[in-house]
Amino acid sequence: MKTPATPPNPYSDLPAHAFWRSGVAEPGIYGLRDLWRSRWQLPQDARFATFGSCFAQHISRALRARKMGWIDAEPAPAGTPPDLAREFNYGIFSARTANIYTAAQLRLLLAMVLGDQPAEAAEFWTGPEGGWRDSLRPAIEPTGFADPAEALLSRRTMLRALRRAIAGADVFVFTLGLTEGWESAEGQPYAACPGTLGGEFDADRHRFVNYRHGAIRAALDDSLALLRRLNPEIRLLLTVSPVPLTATASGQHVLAATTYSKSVLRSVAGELAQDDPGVDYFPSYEIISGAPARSGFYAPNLRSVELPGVELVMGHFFGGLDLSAPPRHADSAAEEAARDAQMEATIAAEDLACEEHMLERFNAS
Amino acid sequence: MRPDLLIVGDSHTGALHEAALARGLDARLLFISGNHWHANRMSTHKKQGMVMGGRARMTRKVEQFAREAGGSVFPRDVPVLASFGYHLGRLAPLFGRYGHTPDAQQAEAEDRLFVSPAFLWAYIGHHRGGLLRILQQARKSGCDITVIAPPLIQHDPVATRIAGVITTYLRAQGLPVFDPRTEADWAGKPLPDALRAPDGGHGNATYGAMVLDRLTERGLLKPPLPSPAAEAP
Repeated sequence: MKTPATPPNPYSDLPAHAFWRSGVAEPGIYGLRDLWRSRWQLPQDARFATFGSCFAQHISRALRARKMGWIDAEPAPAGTPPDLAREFNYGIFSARTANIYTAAQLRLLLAMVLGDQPAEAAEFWTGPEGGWRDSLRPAIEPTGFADPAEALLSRRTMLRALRRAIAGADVFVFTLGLTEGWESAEGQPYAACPGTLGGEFDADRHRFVNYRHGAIRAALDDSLALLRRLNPEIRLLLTVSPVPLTATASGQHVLAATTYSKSVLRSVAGELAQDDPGVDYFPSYEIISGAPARSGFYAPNLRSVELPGVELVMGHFFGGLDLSAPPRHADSAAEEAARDAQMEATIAAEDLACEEHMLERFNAS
Repeated sequence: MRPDLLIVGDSHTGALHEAALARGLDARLLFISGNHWHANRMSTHKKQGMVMGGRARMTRKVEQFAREAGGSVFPRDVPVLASFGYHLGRLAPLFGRYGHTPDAQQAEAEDRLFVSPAFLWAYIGHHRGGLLRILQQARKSGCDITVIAPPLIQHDPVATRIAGVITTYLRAQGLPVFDPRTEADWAGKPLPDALRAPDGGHGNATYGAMVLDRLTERGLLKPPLPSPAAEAP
């Protein structure tokens, strides 16, 4: 019996990836195609600044491994061994911001960069084992700072580096991590609950917040406006971290709280990308936590994402980029090369001078 | 014959050696380029005081010096002036390559990347820890050793901080350190031209003599004992 022809409708001409069976179920996790295509044509030598929650570190690392224009505006000093650099949180993000878990924290940092908020606007805490901690990045130094002045100097350095990272970037990649956070009574967002990595918890001064959709949207809209004041051409690429909450203070079960948190963040990111052509969303969250992966990319703690998952995510990321526009950073690359050459020349001159000095002594005698 | 003085280190040994010879001391010199000190090719050695790896010719040079000094680069019966452990001309440009500084004023005034003292110490430990251990072991073994820090050649806040950290650390470990940067009349000022070698980057014999005088005044360098030949009737 002949199947009656289906009249044309909006679904009849859609590609395979628009249907769950052909887009997901049949190809499986490693067969996913056309999951993401960048909406922008970027220069061949596009530069990326990466910030956000901990999953953003993987994007930094992958960009660097591919020598793909990852901006490191606050690198470790030359000659720093990798383990020491990591201990002091160098080379993790494009400046030493540490994890920026919430949109509110991003907005505050950008306001500080622009001088709309003073660098002193965020608290410094005493650490659990002595030393002083920056409430915006309490674990940035393994043993804290000697005093608040030193902590402020370090924060100001980070803010200047953040400014440079934004000014030099084609794309600001930001990974949204949490809706839950803690604020001071005056509204300063913290990177961690006071009393955990530093400071003392005071129920009268510290309040729990579970940022809602509207508040996160407002913070991201503000952040985008601040980013554009620093770099009018910058694009914002949002991702959502697939890493579940370590703990929730919401009163909900942590599984439900995680789903709520990620759902809200995913929704805000999607909406912002729909509303603004300068914003895009990359689905790392879906790759790791979606049904096709069957949670197989999580470590036994069901939180940490293991390497095969990261590699798959980054494969889709690089596969979806469009780097076909002409290069635009040749001048700054040449400046960097010149700076390196100058330093090499300084050290070489020192070597030569020292050797000649000793030889001349023997000649004179 | 037992020498009066051993001088061990990089190109800053030149001024000390010249001055010592000029005053008639039997001063023996172990000069090794700052490059090799900087490259962490030296390590402690229980009997010989230190060994150098990787370069056969330089390894033999150290071994020969130790033999002539009585078995160790840092013997118990001969004073040693050690001009190594700093090598600021290599370390400071490396540290500052991307614009880092541990100096708060410089960081703010020149838009540099401020680095905490904790990081600076860890960084110095990585690059100079091996050399500082050689000095410490020499002291522990009973050697009459004095560390001679390099003079200030030109203002460089990074080099000054690094030198300060190393000097402070060595002194805290009980090592005598002569640091021209902490001498009342030289502190904070580049070495005067009259005390510079022709290359401009090192002290000259006059400078070396002033250092030896100050060491002697402070009891860090004792006049040599009369040799057995001189004592003979």
